[in-house]
Amino acid sequence: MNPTELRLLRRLAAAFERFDPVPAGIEAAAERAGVIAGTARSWLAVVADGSVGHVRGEGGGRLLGFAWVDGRVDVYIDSGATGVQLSGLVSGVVGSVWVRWPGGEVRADVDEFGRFVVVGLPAGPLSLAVRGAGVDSVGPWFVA
Amino acid sequence: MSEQQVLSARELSATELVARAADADQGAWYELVRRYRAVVWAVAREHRLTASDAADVSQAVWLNLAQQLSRLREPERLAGWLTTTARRESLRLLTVRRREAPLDWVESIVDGPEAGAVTADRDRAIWRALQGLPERCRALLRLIAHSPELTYAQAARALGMRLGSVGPTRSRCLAALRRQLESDGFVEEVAR
Repeated sequence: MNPTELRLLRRLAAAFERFDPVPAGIEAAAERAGVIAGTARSWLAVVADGSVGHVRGEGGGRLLGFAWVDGRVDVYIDSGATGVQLSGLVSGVVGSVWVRWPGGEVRADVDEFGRFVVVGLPAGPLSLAVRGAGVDSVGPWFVA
Repeated sequence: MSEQQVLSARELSATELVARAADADQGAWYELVRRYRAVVWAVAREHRLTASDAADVSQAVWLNLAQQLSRLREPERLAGWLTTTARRESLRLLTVRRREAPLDWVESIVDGPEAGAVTADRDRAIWRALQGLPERCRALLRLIAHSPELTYAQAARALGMRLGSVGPTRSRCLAALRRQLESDGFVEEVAR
C-alpha cells in the first residue's frame, strides 16, 4: 500500500471515528469481557442454529442446539415484554444446565422429561454452560 | 496499568497480545480491544443492524474472543477472525429480526470532540464524500480503513463479497473518493 493511500485510509478511519464512533459502553463491555479469558476448559459444539418466525408480527425466535460427548441441549430463544425467554430440552447424560449473561448466570430447572424454561433474561449476549456428571463445558456467546 | 505498560503493549503483534491476554494479562486484552474495536463495530453497522443490535453483536464477539483466546489457531489473523465472527452473528440476528435498520448514521453530521477546526473540516469533507459513494464502497473502505492488514479474502468474507471483486472495488472506490474530495476543494487531503 502506498503512503498516500495509507494516509487517506487513516483519515477515513478518523472520520468514521468522529461520525459513527464505537459507543463508550461497547468499549467498556469489551474490556470487561477480558475477565473470562482463559477460564474455559472445554466447549459445547454448535450443532443447530436457525430462526423461527412468529405467525403474526415482526421478528421471531432463534433455535440453537449444542452437544457434548454424552448429551445435547436444544433451546428456543424468544424476546417478549418480560425480557428474553429461553425454552430448552436436554437429552443424554447431564448434571445441570446454566444460562449465562455478561453479568451473571442462572441454573435452569430441568424437569423429569428434560424440559426447562428460563424467563426474564436480560437482552444481549447469552451463553449456555453444562456442568456436573463429568462435564464442565461452555457454549459460544450468541445474541437472542 | 502504567503509561509505560500501555506503550509497551502497543508495540506488540496481535499474536503476542493474544498469547499474553490468554495468560490473564489485562493490559494485552485492553490493547486488543483498542486495536480492533472499530473494525468489529464497523462490520455490525455495515450489516444494517440497529445501534442496539450492533452493540450486542460487538459484545458477543468480544466475549467469544475472550473465551476462545487459548485455542485460536492463527492468532496472527485475528482481524479476520473478528470480522468473520461479527459477520456471522450479524447475519444470524438479521434473520431472526427479519428486518434491516436504515443506515441512519450515514446521513448524520454531528459534532464530535473537537480536535481542531482543520481536522473537523477535513473529517466533514471526507464524510460528505463518502455519502456520494455506493453502500458497498463505504462498507469496504470502512473495513480496510480500520484494519488495513485484512487480506482480500478476509475482507470478502466479512462483507459477503466475491474474492475477485475486492481488489477492483477497492481501487475504484478509493479513486472515486479522491475525485470527490478534489472536486470539494480538499486537494491537499489527497496529495499530502
